[in-house]
Amino acid sequence: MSDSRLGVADAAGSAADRAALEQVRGLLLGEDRARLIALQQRLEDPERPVAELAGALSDAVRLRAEDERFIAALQRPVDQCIQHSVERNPQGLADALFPVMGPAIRRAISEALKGIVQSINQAVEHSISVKGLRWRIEAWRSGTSFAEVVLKNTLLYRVDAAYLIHNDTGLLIEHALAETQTTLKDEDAMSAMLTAIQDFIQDSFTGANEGLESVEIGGRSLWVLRGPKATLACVITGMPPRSLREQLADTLRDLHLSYRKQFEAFDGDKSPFAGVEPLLQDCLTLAYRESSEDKARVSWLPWLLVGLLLVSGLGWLGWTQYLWDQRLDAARSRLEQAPGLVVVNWRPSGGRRVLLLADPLAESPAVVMADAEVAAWLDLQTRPYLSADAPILLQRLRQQLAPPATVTLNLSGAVLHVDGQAPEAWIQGLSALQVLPLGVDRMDLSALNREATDLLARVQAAIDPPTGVELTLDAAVLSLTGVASWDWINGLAESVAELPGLVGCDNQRLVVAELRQAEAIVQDLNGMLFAFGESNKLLPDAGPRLDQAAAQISELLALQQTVPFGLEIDVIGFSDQTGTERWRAWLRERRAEQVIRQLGERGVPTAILHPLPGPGFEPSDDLAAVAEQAQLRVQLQPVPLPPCWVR
Amino acid sequence: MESRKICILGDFAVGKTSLVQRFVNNQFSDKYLTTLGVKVDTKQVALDDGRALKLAIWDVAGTDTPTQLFLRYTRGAAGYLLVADRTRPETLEACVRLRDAVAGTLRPLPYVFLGNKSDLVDQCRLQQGIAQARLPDALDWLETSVLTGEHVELAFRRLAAGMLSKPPSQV
Ligand SMILES: Nc1nc2c(ncn2[C@@H]2O[C@H](COP(=O)(O)OP(=O)(O)OP(=O)(O)O)[C@@H](O)[C@H]2O)c(=O)[nH]1
Ligand SMILES: [Mg+2]
Repeated sequence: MSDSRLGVADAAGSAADRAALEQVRGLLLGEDRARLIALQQRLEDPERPVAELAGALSDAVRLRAEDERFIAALQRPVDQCIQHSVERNPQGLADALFPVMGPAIRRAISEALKGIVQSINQAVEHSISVKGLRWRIEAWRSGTSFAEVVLKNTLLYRVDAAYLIHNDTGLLIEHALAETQTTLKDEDAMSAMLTAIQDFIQDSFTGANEGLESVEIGGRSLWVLRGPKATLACVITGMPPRSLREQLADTLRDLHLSYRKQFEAFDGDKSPFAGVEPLLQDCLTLAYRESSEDKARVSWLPWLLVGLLLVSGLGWLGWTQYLWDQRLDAARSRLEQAPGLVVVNWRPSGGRRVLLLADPLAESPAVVMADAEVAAWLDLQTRPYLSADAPILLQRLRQQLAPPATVTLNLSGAVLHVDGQAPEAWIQGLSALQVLPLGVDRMDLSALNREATDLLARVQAAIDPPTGVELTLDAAVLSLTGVASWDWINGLAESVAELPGLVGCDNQRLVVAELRQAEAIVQDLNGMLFAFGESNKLLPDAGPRLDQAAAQISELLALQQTVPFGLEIDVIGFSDQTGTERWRAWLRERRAEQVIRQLGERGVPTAILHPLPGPGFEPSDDLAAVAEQAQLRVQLQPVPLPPCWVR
Repeated sequence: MESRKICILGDFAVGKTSLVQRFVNNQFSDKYLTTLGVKVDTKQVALDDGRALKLAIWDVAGTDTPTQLFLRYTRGAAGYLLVADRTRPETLEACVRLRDAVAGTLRPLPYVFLGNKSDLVDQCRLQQGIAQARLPDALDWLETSVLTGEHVELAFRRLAAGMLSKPPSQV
């Protein structure tokens, strides 16, 4: 307005006035003038407010972020914008949302799968029980799926208590209890500890955004649902379905929506949360479900027991039947293998009757079966017949021919071999048979010998005496005289033992041939002298004597190998009467030793040679006792004859 | 009734658990069982003005350096007792570190400083003056003894009163 007035004045005034006016203006307004001009320009510039608004817009929006009216005002344009954007370029939005939607969808799918797996588990569990059968019928009648019926009937659970816990402080904001429940000893401490545990877990498993989800406490579970500001903890009895978790999560979400600010400001004053309790109560009621079929749950047990009994009873029956059949089979095969028995008909139509052909000589079927119980149970019927089985045939031949004990009968095919010794009369009877016994085509008597009639001849044949031994029989007692070898005498007892008819044997008058030979040598050796010169030096002619003595002693030793006679050889040293007695004794000793050494050098084992100093002082009538010599004295221990058998 | 979360902070074996046990159950044991993680007890205190307050007392495992988990446990507390062992002066430095960490990550919380084990007179090497100089912003500095029970109750009441007169939201 003032400007326009100035304008009029300008139009009327001169240029000088204008200049003066400008000057006055400059004086009056000073620096403000430039600012006024700048302000005027800014008002006139259409771009300017927009630029300024742009600078302030973000701050302005932040200032009003909490204002409901502002939010309402923005809602429509934002909706429109998004709609428009999606219509124009859906891919852009999809790309932007993908990182958010991906995990959310994955999570939703895994939750759904968990639920399905649980239902399947229960369905499988119940599909084989009696109850399951009933539910199947119910499902079929009502036209719903079996799984649904199972779920309806089995998901018995109850949320006993619900606790709302503030995350930051761990303080209990509110809780609700089912009527049957008593309060915990200290819910506040419980909530705080639960929070501390959550803190601990989140700290330990860095990166994992999820904490503890559930805790099993005896038969109960504690489900923990953690929201951004508060945690919902529920104590649940029974088997809750997975879907319950979603319902509880919904409640927690609702609580967050309605009480977000209160949660943030919470410091222990519970008054702003007056409306929370009913919501928690809902958690209890919404999950409460009781089934009248609860008792039916145990009814399968008796059925199972009866079934088990039945099955085990049948099993036992089957088992015993099997064992019995095994025994019957064993008995049958024993009958079939037994000589002289033929199974004609075994238990026709499964009965007990058994028809047998039995040779009169065969063993009794009951004995053959070796199972008295089976034998008694079976109804055995036998018909007689004549068996050609070799053992039975032989038995019959023995009965018919009555061979003496010295005769053996053998069958090869239909040929009867008669071996051994038999009395003349029996052999004649055999040869005179007009008809061969049944089952025999030919008889072979080539190995059959006539039995010697004379006992002496039989003894002679049995013992085969060497020439020079004479046998005499006196009342069936055999006496032997003469010279025979040691071995033969020793074998006598055995060869004589089996002779029928002989009652005794006397061998004491027999002379052992080897012993007689040995005695001859001993006689030769005994008293053999070896002459010494002075001292203990043998005279030269002793050499050949020593050789002879050594040879003869060796012969004796060889004989001793056969006949165990004891051989003792003493070597006695002598001396004449000269010198002191000590000297003489020493000399006698040395001489005996000298001979022994000489013999030892000639191969005689010195162990059998015993040095024996000759007699000392006493004058002896024995000439040898005073001569310069040594003498051999040989003895044989007598050997008793082995006793021959005496009946 | 209102409730508050408070924490007991301090170095190892300064007597935090003992303090809580004395306060909650009026018991003392000379056995030392170190606290693992955290143990929470609750107790109601009647204030001088007739109001009652339920305290959720978080007995946090002793530490001289504030860990991530330590700070998690202190989150949401309305105040805390900061405990030093008067026979071990170095436990005061731990207190200063813990106080700074709490104030730095959360916000300055009201706290009461306790010089504990005052009954061990001969061994006391930590004077209250030093503590006052190092921790000037404490609500109070108390010489306590869990053994005799001296100032234990007082410590909790002082903290409770301090928390209510200066609500953390206004800081
Ligand atoms: N003499 C005396 N001993 C005390 C006092 N307070 C605590 N103690 C003893 O100090 C030891 C440690 O006590 P705690 O209460 O377990 O210590 P803490 O601070 O909880 O230890 P952490 O849990 O490991 O951090 C125990 O043996 C207590 O008996 C006190 O006032 N006087
Ligand atoms: Mg402790």
